[in-house]
Amino acid sequence: MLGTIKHSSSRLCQTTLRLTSRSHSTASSSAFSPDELAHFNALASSWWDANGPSRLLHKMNPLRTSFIFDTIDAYALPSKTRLSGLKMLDVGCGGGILTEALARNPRVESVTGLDMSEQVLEIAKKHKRQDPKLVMEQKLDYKLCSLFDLPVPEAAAEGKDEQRYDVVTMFEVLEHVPDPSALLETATKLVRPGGWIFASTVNRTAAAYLTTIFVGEDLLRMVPKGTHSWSKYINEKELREWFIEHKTSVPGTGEHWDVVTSKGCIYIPFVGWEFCGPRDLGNYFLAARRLS
Amino acid sequence: MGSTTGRKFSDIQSDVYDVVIVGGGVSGLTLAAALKASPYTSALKVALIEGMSLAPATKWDPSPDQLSNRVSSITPASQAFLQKIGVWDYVYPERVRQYDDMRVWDGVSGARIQFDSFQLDAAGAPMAYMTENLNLQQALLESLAEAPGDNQVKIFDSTKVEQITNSTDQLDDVDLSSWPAVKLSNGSTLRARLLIGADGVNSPVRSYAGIESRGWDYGQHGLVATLTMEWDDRQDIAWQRFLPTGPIALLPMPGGKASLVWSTTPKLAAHLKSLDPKAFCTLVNAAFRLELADLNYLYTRSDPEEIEAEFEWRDGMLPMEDEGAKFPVRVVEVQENTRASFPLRMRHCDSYVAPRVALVGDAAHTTHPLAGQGLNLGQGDVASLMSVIERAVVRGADIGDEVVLQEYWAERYPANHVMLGVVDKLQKLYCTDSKPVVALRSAGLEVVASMDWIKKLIMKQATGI
Repeated sequence: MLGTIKHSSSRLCQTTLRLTSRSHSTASSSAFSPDELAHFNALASSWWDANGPSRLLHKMNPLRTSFIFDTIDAYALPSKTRLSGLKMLDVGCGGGILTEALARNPRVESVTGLDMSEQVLEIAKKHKRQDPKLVMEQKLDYKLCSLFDLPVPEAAAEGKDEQRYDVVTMFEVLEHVPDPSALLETATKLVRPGGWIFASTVNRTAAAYLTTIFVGEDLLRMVPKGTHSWSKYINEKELREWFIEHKTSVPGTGEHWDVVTSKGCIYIPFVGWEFCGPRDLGNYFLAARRLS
Repeated sequence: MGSTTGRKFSDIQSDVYDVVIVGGGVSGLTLAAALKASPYTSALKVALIEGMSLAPATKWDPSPDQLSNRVSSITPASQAFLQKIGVWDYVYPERVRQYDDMRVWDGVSGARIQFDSFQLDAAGAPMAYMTENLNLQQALLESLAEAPGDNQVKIFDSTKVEQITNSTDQLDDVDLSSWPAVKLSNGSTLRARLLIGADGVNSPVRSYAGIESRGWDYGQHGLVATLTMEWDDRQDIAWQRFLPTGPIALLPMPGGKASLVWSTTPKLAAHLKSLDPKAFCTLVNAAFRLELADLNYLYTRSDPEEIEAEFEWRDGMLPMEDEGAKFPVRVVEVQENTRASFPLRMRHCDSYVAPRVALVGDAAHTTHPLAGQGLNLGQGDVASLMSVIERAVVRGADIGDEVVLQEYWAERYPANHVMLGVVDKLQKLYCTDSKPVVALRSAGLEVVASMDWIKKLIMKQATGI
């Protein structure tokens, strides 16, 4: 397994190299590839079926929300981090499984869900209407656009309130986009100082291939075939180093990103998703915080 | 959005609830009280529907020498939960009797087992608390009435559920089509984010959810009665003798009274109910004290004086030293209008949950009363469902989400399945007088009876602690 990590070149580094020779507009148009889009469009109608193809995502939701709020509670710097009244952005929100849970949380002031699939986002909007609390409180908003097309909110300045997000979440997103480095780069600009990026993806290891693709998709068919492509997985080390290389002391900005924690997680049949096992083996969650 | 209807969510908002509980029995009321007691869920809007009037419970003014025949054995685990949610403080303590000793024997072979808290290094720890269901219900209602005014559970009693469907509201802003709509006999329709079936063995909520219930009838009736004993035996013992027609149990109640649960054939149950009160008491005494052949002979008699004479003659031959050790104190009186019987059955639902639906208590499972677990399994359901709902609220999940509710089912189904299975096998094992089976079960019982560690293990299961 270690061998796999060593000789496979870092996916984030590769894409970063590509990114430098690419104009921003091309990156924008390719935030999501057409075949990925088609795959998720096909899943739209069954997104909220608790016993359907997205069951594993539904089951993962408690782990996601507890990771977000437990990390904020455990590592918050009271002078810099807000604990409630949180403004959140959910990138790649899909049918809104996580987005709705965030919006129902009393600590959250507003959530914007972004997705590139019109069909999937329609499902999210329709499903939101099934909960009068979400409709009445008006905390939840969905936008059909790429992260690259989202206007960067204004930073706090003389006479202006901070408009950037407290939290940007990117759960199970990085392994589905052609240029994860550019996506991360953009996300970091949207976060206010003291704010967070929470991301999850899968390590590019033989074990991950075996569990997520061979067993999950081919053998047990718990996950729709074609959901994952192994070559797009990102190792925990790569993601961690991306923050170190790109975001530690960005010259001239005083900006500083700190990878606060990362945890490996696995799906245990009859139990659910649990934080368990090494962070560099299969699925993992990572939390990074912006400081200045 | 297509055509608009002009109706908005705000038009129906007053009839929309987070939790609608169908059933005002102990399980339903406990869930309501627990929801109001928890800081995570106390803000939820809760309604409870009960077909009967709850006035007998709210206005309960019991006389000290009268006991209701609807009585339950409350395990320490259930008692601890009721304490935690602040309900136990409202229970009339003078109408609760604890027991810490249980004597069970085989009516065919006489093989015995005794569970005694004192002998099992748990001196003073009760095995169970006996009290009237009404005592619990009034305590639950009292605690519900204590909640702040704007936050109280809305109780619809003397109100029948006429129909449960998915909501058909056509609203411009909100889509409630996945929400159950409960049509009531008072004309209103309640919409529920989460609908709870605490509505007993023929649960309408279960029918709405399309959940299958499986099981069998035992072909026995449970005959209950409130009895007065010759004197108040302060040993606090629960007695149970397994007869081939079904177990007979005598559970101590306050003030020298006892509660009888006699599982027997429907024919015998009908006979016992119609018997002269004095003769009935004699037969209860006979069922605990006499040989099977003698008992079977007495069943065939109906003249009270003959029964009395036949019993006294046989009872006089029993050794004095067995009094109070092998048999309970004699029964001298049966309280008027307390003899009642009901069919005994085993039922277990395939699932306890469906989208926006959860079943608790008898709606999910029904068991034979021989282990005194019926009410306690329901309390276990409520405690589990409560923690699932609390967790869901904390994480921002929709409490009606099937994925959330499945956690409750996953936790409770195996536990209930084991308990129902053990009770069912015990029932079957003891409802025979086949010689080899009696020999085997008696040998087995004697082995268990001689090993304290097994007895402790059994006690732990039975008390839930």
